[in-house]
Amino acid sequence: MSIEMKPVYINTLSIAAPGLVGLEQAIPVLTGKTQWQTSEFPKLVPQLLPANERRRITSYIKLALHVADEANIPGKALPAIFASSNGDFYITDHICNTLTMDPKHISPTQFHNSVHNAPSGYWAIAAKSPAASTSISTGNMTFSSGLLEAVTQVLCQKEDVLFVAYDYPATAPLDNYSDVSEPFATAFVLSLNKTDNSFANIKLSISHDAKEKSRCINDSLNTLQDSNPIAESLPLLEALCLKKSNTLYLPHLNNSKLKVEIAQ
Amino acid sequence: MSISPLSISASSMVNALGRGKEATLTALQQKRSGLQPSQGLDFSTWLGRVHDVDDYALEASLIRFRCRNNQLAKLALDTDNFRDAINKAKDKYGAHRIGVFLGSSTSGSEETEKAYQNRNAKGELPTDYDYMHTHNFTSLLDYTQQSLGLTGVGQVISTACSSSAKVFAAAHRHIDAGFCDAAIVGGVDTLTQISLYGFNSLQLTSANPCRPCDENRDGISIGEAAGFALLEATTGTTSNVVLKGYGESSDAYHMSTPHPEGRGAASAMQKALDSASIKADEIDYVNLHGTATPSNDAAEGKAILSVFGTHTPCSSTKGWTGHTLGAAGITEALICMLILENQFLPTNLNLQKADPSLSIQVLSENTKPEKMIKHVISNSFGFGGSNCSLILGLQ
Repeated sequence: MSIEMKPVYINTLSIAAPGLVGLEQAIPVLTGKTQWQTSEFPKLVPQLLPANERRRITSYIKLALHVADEANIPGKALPAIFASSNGDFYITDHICNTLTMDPKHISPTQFHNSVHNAPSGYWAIAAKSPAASTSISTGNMTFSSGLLEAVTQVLCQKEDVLFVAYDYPATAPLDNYSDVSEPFATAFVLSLNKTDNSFANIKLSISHDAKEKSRCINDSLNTLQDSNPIAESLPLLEALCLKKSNTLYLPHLNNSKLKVEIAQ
Repeated sequence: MSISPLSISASSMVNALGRGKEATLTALQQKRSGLQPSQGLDFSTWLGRVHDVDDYALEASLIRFRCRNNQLAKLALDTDNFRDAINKAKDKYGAHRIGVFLGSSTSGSEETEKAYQNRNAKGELPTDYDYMHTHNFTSLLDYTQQSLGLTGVGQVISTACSSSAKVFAAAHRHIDAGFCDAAIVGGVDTLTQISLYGFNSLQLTSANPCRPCDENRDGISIGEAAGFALLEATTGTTSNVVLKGYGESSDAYHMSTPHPEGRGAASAMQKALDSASIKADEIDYVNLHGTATPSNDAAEGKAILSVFGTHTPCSSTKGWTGHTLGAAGITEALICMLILENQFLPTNLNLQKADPSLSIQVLSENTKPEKMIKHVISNSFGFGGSNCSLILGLQ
């Protein structure tokens, strides 16, 4: 019953991380022309939500909406895949604190923002998108599982999808419990159709033999790659910006690797 | 776009009605609710609690995953001969070719709640608190894969109350695209302070057992549950119940209130019909999302009216199990399977006076249908406007 395994094109790309806010800043680093240097991560202000809604959302949700908006094709209501390992640590901390003091006074807004699909819900409202949207996690393997879900949707449903992956660090006392020390987010539109703006096409498979995960070509990015599960996307982002064919192995479940064959 | 059906060839369930499919079926047939008055909360409500979870031991080698959510998962994995079925599937497909797609809204977040209650004077969390193996969503996936000895693809979907309905769609796609040959779908959600006080903060909990579709409905009863099912190609399986279609949509309206006309809900049901290649009048029963909040049931009623008209029998089973949130999709899909296997339609428990403004046929008694039940649809709608409808049928 299997469908044909066609190449899937990555037609748009956005990124937000310290020192890599937007493609203009990121491309010189991702193509190896300059070294990566960390810098203070700016406060993002997603313009697509009205000001009263923007006040209700956290830095975590803003990060997701920012890259989603940059990667989205304006006017399109695409099915969307939201992938985040941890959800919103700020909200978890705030609600758990309230529970220890005065449980009846949990903020209703914080409670509905605590669901893992809060960024997806705000995105659908902001983009006026009635299309299907999912929100997944597989812990530190979340980037590869999200990419796999996005590609299966393109292959099975034969329509473009928007893939958004993001994680935002916790503050004390939750700051030492996950592998997120820096904010990192990326988003793409994936499609069966090549466009003038396509970065590359990819084919995915699961490898149970590959021992080592792929590292960045620009080795100044290695510390960033290890600072956030979503930053495991960096070797792929390099290949897309270099527009070179390559085969990468991204960390995946149960010590397997997601094999990504990149071609032009 | 039509899809090929997949066989539901094994399954297990645990909820407030008891352990196993037989316990759920018997409670449905005897009209015996699992809801009980809450204890120890700062407000009054009724809950669908599963008993005997806290002492249920995980495997010694997997003890770091210990939390109520994973204990409930193990209770379900150890029920209805589910492990035997998975062992046979492993022999048939290989452990690396069976995917695992699970839904949860809570995961083991109760461990973080407890850790905050037990912070030391410096505000630090207890040394034995293990976030990644309990609270992080991957805890449920990692525990389930390791408990069953599976090494294939998988994911946890967390889209609030549609989570464990959407796993059927993700599993179907991964099988179709060739990333696995068979898949376990499921959902596990446990009662947590976050969800209890959170729904209370939104004034969505009832002080009484929930009354879906009733004129005087006034909110939800929260429950907990676990359920799993094995999906595989229909050839060579003995089960005659299949996943026939799925539909997913977004409301794009509000974070915690459904679109008042049920726009997203109607779209999910229509997409499910299209994917099953059947017409609305071929659906013999609708298992409602039916949470018993005034706005949810009104929106769903309008959506059903627009897709099915006034005659299709409908009921919500949340009066039995409570609203099991991230486990509602799998729990109600498996109730639909019991309906197909046993050819009866469950009443909408706790209904005193059906809301006349709903204009849909809400069942007020357990019913033995006159014609064979061939196709049923199960609705799951969640916060963030996340909608999923599943169609199950007889092969």
